[in-house]
Amino acid sequence: MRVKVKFLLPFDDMSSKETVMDLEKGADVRALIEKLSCKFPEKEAKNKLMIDEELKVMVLINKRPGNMKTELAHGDEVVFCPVFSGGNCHD
Amino acid sequence: MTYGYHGKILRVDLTEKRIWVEKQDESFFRFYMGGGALGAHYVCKNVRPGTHAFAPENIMVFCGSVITGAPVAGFSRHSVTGISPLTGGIADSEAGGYWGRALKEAGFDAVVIEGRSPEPVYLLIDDGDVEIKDAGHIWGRDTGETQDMIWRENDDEKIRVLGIGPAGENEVYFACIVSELKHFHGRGGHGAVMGSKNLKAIAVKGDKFPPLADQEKVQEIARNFAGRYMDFDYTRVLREIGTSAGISFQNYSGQLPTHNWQTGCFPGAQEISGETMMEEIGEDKGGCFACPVRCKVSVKASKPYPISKRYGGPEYESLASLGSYTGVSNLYAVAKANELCNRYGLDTISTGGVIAFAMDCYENGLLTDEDTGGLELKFGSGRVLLDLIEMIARQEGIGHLLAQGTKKAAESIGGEAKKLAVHCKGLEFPAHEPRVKKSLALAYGTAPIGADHMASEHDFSNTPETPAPIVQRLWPLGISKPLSAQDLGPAKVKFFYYTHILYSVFNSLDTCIFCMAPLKPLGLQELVDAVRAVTGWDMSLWELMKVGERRLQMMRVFNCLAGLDESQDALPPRMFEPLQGGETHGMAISPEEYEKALKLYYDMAGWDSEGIPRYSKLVELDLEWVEGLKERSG
Ligand code: SF4
Repeated sequence: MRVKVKFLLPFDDMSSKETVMDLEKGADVRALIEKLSCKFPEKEAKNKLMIDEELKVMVLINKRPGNMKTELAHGDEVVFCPVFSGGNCHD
Repeated sequence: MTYGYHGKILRVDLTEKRIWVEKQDESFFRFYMGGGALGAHYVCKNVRPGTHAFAPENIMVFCGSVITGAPVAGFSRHSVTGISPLTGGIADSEAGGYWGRALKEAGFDAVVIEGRSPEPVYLLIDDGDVEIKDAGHIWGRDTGETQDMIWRENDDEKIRVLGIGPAGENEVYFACIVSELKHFHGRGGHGAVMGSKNLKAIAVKGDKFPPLADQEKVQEIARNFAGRYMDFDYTRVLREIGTSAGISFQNYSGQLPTHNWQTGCFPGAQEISGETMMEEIGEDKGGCFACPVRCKVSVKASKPYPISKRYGGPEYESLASLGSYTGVSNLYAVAKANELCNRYGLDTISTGGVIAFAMDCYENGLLTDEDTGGLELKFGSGRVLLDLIEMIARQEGIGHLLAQGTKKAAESIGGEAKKLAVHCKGLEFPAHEPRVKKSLALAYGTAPIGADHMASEHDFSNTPETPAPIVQRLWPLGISKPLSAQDLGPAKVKFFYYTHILYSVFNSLDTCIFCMAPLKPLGLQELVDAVRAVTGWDMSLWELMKVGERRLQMMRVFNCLAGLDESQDALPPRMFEPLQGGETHGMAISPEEYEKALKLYYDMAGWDSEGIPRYSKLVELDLEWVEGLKERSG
């Protein structure tokens, strides 16, 4: 199956902001990260996305928050992004 | 010997042209520390609740905190506190930059301004010497010209100037105070209060920074921050493109307030996104004292509008309020609107909010061409956005109505207009959606200044999907149960209650939340360690939290006595209407869930069923003296 992967910053140094990945049927987010790491070894995707085997960024699957074990389906859009909370300097 | 602070408060009576220095002892500073807590103390002691914001009896307290100016990232901010024209209650507002440190270098921890000068003046504080100087020739000038003229006549470009533009002089209710052209006391209309006092600017310089108790430890904390901040994704985003990065994420997830809060999806988001802005008009980066993050982006353009980089560039809030709120997707128009607000001294959030409200009224027939002088206030028009900013700053035509803020404008328009007015207590909503992140309903409803997005941690820092390392950083507060952003049950009330106090600590220390836990590098224990190292006090997180609580409770008592009763904790009707379209389609707050959460929060905070702080709570915080306000307000 094929999923679309997007990085909503700060993954500026990943090879592209959007990429397509082919995965085994039933693969979950963890499997996707493993695959990303293989595809871009020099970019250290694993270190950027995980810490101590846990996600360190948010993952949205078709715009809904997911986790490491969320199963992916063909055509899914997976977005990795920082937790964007609140804030502004125009206080 | 005091460390980190002087123990000196500068008092200035503009009516009598009297200047004196008041000394406060260590216990005072340990109790109130600075920022909004110190400000609220002076307001409660000196101003009768119910005083009009523009009356000479209102005061303005400018200060940092005991740690402000210590060379650690995020210890750079300063506050202004006084009565807000928008709410009629007490409000504080913080800004970053260098002015906070410079005030201490000039020899003072705080400046308390009272009275009203009969003619325009500015205040010059030069290494302990204080002078009230004529500003007749500067009056009417924009913020950039004001700074230039003060520099020129004092022959010194290193003087740190904060001041107001024409909007403040004209008492636009949401006029802001501009510090060094790129830092803003945006919220609450303090610029108009300064205008009402005929005070154009406060210029500071000096060489008297107080010693730190443990210089080495302070340096170690700063070094640690510098070594680690790029490991934090949010901070990396800030470093790369600043808060403007928020536009893409907020829109993607259906949370970008659009067309006066009708929907969370803005078709023009890509055009006004941080990424596009950086590419097309991003010029350079800047920041605040001692902070390596440098999150502030300046923009520059020559066509179709000349935009000067002197006035910085739009933050996330400004892109949203001037852009998606009003439906304007022309990046250049939005960036120009931001520049105009900064030159005239207008809060971008309230400006965008009131313009979006007016557009909604116009599209619904509540404002007619006759009211607008022929201006077609349709969502999406960049030209109208820019025209209205000019008219608001000068209080001309329809600008006069809008210059009173959304709440008062809605009252004047009457009829259904109130249903379209998105504010709490009179303060327009910042660009975070309470229908999606529901703890914000409590924050906007109950924060002392009105709808305040910097009043507490937002829900996504503690959801089941939030990465564990982030969630765990809230554990020292006693928050360990992740909750859905859509939850507004008892555990969410507790999440709000604790983090509201934590943010009040940040407001009392005048620290930058972009440097602080849970999402940013400086952990809670490190903050405590830093306070200890700067002041030499054996401070604990508990003691800091009590300072934060003190600020909130003083403000609440003052506001209750100023007539901001529980009805003022209500949410605007639009929050009970479902969001339209996109991923958040259908999300709304139900009146019952809000009412239940609100009553539970009152109880948790030590307030009675009408939202008035109980005597026992005041005693617990050593604030019995605040009860004395009752006599004065009667
Ligand atoms: S993170 Fe940004 S706003 Fe905060 S202190 Fe640093 S430069 Fe200033």
